[in-house]
Amino acid sequence: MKFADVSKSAGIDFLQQNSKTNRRYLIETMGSGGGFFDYNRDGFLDIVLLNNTLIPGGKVVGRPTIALYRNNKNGTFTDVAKAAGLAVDAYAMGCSAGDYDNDGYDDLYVTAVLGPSRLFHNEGNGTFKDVAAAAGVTNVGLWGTSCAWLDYDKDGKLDLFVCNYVKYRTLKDDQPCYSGDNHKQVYCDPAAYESSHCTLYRNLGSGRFADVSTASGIVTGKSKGLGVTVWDIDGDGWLDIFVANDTVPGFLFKNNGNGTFTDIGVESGVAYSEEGIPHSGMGIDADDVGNDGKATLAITNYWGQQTSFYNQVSSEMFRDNRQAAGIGNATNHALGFGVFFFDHDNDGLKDMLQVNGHVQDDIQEREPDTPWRQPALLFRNMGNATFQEVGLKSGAPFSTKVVGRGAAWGDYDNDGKLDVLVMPNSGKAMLWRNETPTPNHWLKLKLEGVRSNRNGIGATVLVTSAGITQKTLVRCGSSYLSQSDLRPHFGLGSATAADVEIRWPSGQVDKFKGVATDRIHSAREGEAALK
Amino acid sequence: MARPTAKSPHRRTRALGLALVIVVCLYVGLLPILSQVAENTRNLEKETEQRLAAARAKSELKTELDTLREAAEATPRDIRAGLEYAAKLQQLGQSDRAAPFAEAAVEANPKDADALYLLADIYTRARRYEKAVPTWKRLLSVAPLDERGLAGLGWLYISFGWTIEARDLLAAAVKSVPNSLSLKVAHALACVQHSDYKRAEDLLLGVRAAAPDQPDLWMPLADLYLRMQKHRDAVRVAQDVLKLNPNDTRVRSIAAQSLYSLNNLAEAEENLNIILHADPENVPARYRLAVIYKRTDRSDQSRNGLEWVLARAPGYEQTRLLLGQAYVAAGRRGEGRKLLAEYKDAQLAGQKRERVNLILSMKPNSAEAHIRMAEVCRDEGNLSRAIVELVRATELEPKNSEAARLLSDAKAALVQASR
Repeated sequence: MKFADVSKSAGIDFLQQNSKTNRRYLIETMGSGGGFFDYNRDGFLDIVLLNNTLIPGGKVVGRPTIALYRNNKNGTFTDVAKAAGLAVDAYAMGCSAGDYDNDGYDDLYVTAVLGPSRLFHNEGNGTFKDVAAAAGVTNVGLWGTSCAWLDYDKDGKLDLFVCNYVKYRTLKDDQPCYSGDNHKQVYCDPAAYESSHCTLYRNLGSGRFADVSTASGIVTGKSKGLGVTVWDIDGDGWLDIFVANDTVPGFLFKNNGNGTFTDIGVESGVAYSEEGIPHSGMGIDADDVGNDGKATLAITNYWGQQTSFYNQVSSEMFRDNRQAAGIGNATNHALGFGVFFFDHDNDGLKDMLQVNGHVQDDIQEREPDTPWRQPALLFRNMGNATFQEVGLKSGAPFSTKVVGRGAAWGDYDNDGKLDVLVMPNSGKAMLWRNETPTPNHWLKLKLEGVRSNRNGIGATVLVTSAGITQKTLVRCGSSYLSQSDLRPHFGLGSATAADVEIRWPSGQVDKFKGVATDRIHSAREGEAALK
Repeated sequence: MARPTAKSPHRRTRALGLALVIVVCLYVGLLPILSQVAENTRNLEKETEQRLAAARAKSELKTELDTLREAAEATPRDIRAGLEYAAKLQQLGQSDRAAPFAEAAVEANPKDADALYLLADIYTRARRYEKAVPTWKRLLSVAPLDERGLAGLGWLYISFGWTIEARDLLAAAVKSVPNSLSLKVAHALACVQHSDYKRAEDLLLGVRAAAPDQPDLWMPLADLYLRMQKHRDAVRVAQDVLKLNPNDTRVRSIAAQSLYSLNNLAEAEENLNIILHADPENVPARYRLAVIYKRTDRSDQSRNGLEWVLARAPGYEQTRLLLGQAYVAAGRRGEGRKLLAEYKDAQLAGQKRERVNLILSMKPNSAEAHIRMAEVCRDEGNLSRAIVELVRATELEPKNSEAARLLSDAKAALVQASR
């Protein structure tokens, strides 16, 4: 297992800046996200990186704006944000890419604080146009964080779910906090802020959305949302939504199939830790990690609280198995943000990566054993419901201490090995190329919905080889503020062929026998063969 | 020498051996019964002894109290006699009865530090905070370096979450009375409230070095390590305390919590069972044991334990979460959902308090922050504390009409409640 930081040679030269002030505003601690998406439909993943604009009293170098790195298809990238119309000033937080108007080009939603969120419509000619106001998705007055495109009502159009953190419209809403004998100002605890609520925008078509947060029932609980992931927990074809909340109970919005949701977070066991404490939930992901058809849910937490690791025990019940899985103690001394499941060694078992970094940049003055910069952790799935942390054996990037925030996976060079994008707070974005020497086989699918949404978001994909069926769900969101590769990827070990089944959101089921490995297949909804 | 017949002596030996075996077997069989009888007899003797000792102590105490009361009543102008009586009552947890004698002593001699200390302590323990704060302050105005006064007021501020007041007072106190270990402990806890764990650790390690044989003083070090998630250190300190004080259930509980966090469930369970052996009514220990049962798939034991906790301590809110989930998992959805809804409501109420508390700690000079805290205290039925907050608000903003109105209402409500 080996990853190498190729940011420099790949031409990724992006400094995330939080516009640090002496006043220490809470927003400075959050970082920003980024991700992989193929904006120009050339079959290679491009990279978007978000930044935080200058705030009063802040210090920045140059003009921190969003960057869009176009993949040159030779392992290098070129920043084309200005030409693409994305180099805007915003205190940007998270992003999600999806083709909301089914025109074949992925659009980009970017959440923000201190200003409106943006919906960048992909014009199909290499440029984007902010249509948030006309679409009705500015999320104005709210501190938007992670977000996800999903078709919750199965009408073939992508809707938009946005996590909002705390009530914080302007810098005047910031609470000062102090610590130590010298009454030093520190970044404040989120507990000092009033809760907010999540937002759900229903896609009405014609480029317009309606805020259906209240009508859909997702405003029932108080939210300090930082992470969102989507899964179909009971296999009824209706997408359910997990939300990681910071210091308040998390949500599991069960889709009632009639345009409404019911929060079953508390009774399903995922709202609190096993000890009854709300998570300091930052990042989140769900996937079928045990190859048993059931979901596993990871939620990163504060230093000392350990990453929550829930295994689904029945359709609506989860159990925190963090200690039994070997995740608990290994994450005790990490303040986790971005987290995701991915099969980094193509052995057919989804592994887990988590990036970490404290929120207080001066924490070591008060807690000498608690660093601000922390290494990322890589957990190898051992195939027996346990994981082993193998970061230090996996290349230099895992020895590097950073203030980790956003994180995403994607195969930017289409070599069948999943690469990693890490967005630190106040630091250079990092692209970690997966150079794991392995003879293991793989296959990847590029979905194209016809009756379903164009991205096939919400499709369940099952791949069977050597008697084992792997399952995943094509989804946006997950991790923290970030966008991973939308193409479902399966490691197959020594298998040289696999059976593939795609259950599209429309209800269409496509099955393919003996699919060849080690290549990317295109799957168009309803067509008899893969391409 | 005649050779013995082939079998007779051997037979005798065998017969004797057999008899012995039978007796031993019978004895062994009876042993548990005999031991139980002996144990019961010993217990009975022990209980009788304890009852007699308690009766003797009660009688002696009554005599002592009567003597002190008679002395106090016979010489009303003798402040010392009244104080001694009040101190004894206070020692017995009878703050209400103690208060008039201490008040009389203070009235007779407003500058008597001992009287002021006793009165402040009485008010504090009786949770009459509206009287406790000014009395501690009076003591410190009379005797600025009074260690008891500095620690007493400091602890009170810590309990209020007035972190800056607590830290400023105790930091100055530690400088003024550098040899006071109790002040250092209080200062350490004020630092903990400020998340200044390094300073807190340094202070407590200093206390430990100065008084290694007084674990009561430096026991908070274990709690600090638990809070800092340094579980191995917490266990180590807890074990050091337990070597000196094997019956300290507080520190054993900390050890159990840290062992649980380290996933050493067997030792955590062992410690909790020791606590429960000594104190079967220990609610946190019962709860934690139920959590361990849950994690180790002993669902029935877990549910039984949680039901026990809920019945004995309905205010122990986390029980509702785990028991509610257990009921839902067992198909008792109605009961489960009811408990889960109650838990969620309690959590939301707690979050409001936490937020207000945090804002107060950040803005100690904001009348608004004190007013909001007063409202929370009032809503929780803690009028005494609400008055303290409102008094502080009016000190900060004498013309704040909202504070004045709420203060007047709270005082009236407290009078009404005391009636």
